[in-house]
Amino acid sequence: MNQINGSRARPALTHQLELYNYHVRELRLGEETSWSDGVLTVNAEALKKYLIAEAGVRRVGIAVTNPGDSVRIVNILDAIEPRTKPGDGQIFPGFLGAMDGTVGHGVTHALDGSAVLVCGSVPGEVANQVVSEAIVDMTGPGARYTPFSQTRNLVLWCDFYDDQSPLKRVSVARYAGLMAARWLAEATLEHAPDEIRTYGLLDKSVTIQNGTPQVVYICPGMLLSDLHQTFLAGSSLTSTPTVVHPTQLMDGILVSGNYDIGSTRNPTYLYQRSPIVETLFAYQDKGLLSFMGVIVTKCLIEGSVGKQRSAYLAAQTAKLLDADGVVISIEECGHAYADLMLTCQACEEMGINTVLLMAESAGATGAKPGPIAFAESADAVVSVGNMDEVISLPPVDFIYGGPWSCGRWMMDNMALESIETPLANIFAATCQMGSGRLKGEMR
Amino acid sequence: MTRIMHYVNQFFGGIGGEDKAEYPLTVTDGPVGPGRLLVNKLGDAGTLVATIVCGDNTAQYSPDHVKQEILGLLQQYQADVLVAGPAFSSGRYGLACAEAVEAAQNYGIPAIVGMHPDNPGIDLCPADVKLVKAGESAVDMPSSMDRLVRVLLRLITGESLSAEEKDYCIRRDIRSNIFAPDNGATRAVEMLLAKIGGQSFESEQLSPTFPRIQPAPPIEVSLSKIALITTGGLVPKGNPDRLESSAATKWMTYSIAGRATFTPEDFECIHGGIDVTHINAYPNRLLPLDICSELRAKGLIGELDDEYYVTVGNLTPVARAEQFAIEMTARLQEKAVDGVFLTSS
Repeated sequence: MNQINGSRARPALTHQLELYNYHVRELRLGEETSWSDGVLTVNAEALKKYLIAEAGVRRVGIAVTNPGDSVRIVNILDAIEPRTKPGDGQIFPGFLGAMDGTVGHGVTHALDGSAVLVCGSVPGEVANQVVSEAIVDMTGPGARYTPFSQTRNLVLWCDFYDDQSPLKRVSVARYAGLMAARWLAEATLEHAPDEIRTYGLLDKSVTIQNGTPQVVYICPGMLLSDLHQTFLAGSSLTSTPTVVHPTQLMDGILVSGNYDIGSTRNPTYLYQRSPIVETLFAYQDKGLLSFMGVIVTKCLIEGSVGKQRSAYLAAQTAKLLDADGVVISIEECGHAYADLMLTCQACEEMGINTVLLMAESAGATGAKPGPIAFAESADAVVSVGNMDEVISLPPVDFIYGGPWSCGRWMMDNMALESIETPLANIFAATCQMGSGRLKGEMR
Repeated sequence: MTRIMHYVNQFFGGIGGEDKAEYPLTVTDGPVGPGRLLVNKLGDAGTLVATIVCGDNTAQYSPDHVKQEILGLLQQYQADVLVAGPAFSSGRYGLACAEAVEAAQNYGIPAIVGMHPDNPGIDLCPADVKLVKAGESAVDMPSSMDRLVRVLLRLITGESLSAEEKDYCIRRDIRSNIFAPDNGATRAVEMLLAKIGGQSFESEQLSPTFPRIQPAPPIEVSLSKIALITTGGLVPKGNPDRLESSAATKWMTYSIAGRATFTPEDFECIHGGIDVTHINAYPNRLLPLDICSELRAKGLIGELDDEYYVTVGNLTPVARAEQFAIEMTARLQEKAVDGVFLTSS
């Protein structure tokens, strides 16, 4: 066991979470679900039985795939990292557990380097909204765009009862994914982790003494309709900002319920292993900044009055957390950028230095003009890439996630042939929480 | 010798004006219309093997078919380069030229097009196409063609452009993707620390520049004819003309003669970027025909246009939206409309 943070003295942390990482080298199917030396073996039949009984799916297909496999996964709804908490600890509060003081506190077991990919075909419309395509290629030129070509994936493809509405279907799939994630992580409960990482915020007195910049992360999640939304401790996000402790993200206080544009979704996995939270903690460990907290809020707010209200409430909350600077991510595109820019403007007005992360929708040729909204004070913007770039995906040996019935977009592009697709269809390819290295620039 | 094909619209092809905009795509050997001027200026550097003539509406309404046909002709004539236009400031001709050069580009044939710098077609041209400045109208044909041919000659010989010739071309901001050494989160935190520390940093996205619109002078509404326009996708129930829920290719008008309100039985919203529940329950929430009818009855609005105008703004390219605006304005002027209520989604 390598206790990496124990090597040098460091100040006391508040609301401390110890993340027990079990590095998954390989995922395989077998007789008994077990953890041994980097290999997670899964009894698919037992997991199926459990999910059919508890989550409400009609049938569920299970496959495992490792990086480099000639596999294309389609119809992806969400990705979740397998995690659980020992004893009375609550994980995924509001879904599998209760919201209580253990969330973001104590010990959490994580199957690091693995993910549950929940797939399902959900045809039909809800208030004119549809479930969009999201693809992961485990090998080839498409693989480098998505974080989930690097994880060992348990693919769950859900089949639903005919009378289940689109909303019921995504809800059932969401439960199936979260339940499977906890179920898998339980295999580690009796085992020692490969690594323990300790996360927490610095005590206020230390923060004031050390004089490093105080940084807050503002994390808006999408809520456009009942079909495309985000959950905070099990309830739909509202446009009233809420402060959460960053370690609570690690215990699944945020769960994705957004099935719109594949590349700009914030999957649950990237809330659990938030790239911005991890970076801010890493920089805090190096003594370069003090991490002050996470503000969760909603984007795609209706109407300019509501947008402005939420933007200034978020900025004011950051100010009350003593922020010298904020990083703001975003989900989706379109008028979400009005929310983003207003929040930036409000922060800058209050004297808080602001950096934004945004995808680009510059057209296939890269010539389309920029976003619909851009604040004058938005002078520090990270580009996570142009989602309209068209890439070519060569044939693969297997497609997972399609057999029950095909997804909307894949319907015309089925089979194992090569397909041309904008990056928008590649899962989390331009995730605006900053997981990828993709970047747009002037040619 | 370099084999050149030329693309022109129905007007420059000598077929006719607006009334011939549905003219199908045809091909003629040798130069037609402005092509003769092109041949004069070109001299022995190339031969203009054929001219494609196509109505602007044909190009707009069936772009895939038109591109397919152009591709076939480029192969058939073994063309080395495609010249389109000049389209001057004609929006629909510009969009058609963009289609033509895209077809050539997709087939690996270099293309060059002349347009006025304000032509909305510019944004739809592929990144690698040479865009040469043209004047506002055909009055500027000689100088526009002169610039076009000067750049074309460089394209043929493979020589680089002189400073003067570079100035003939329209500069565009083209974005492309690369992989940075660090992920976005790390770049964001680094940028923030530099910003807080007062050090220099480079933003990866800059504000786009949009032209500022000068509002028209105020009007006395009680003496005016008012029209209702929406980019929110309000259509008769069943969407008879199949207006697209995103990236619209057209705008429509529908009669509201004798109607005082939009009823949910007769109208619906097909916009793909919003939750339409509340609009569909009471469509006047999107376009307030109910209130406008009341104001009309009270004499506070002079007259209401007997049709409303609709498209969908969701993900519709700015170039196309500008073109819709030009066309709608022409129609509004024809109908002597003084002012409009314009609602978005």
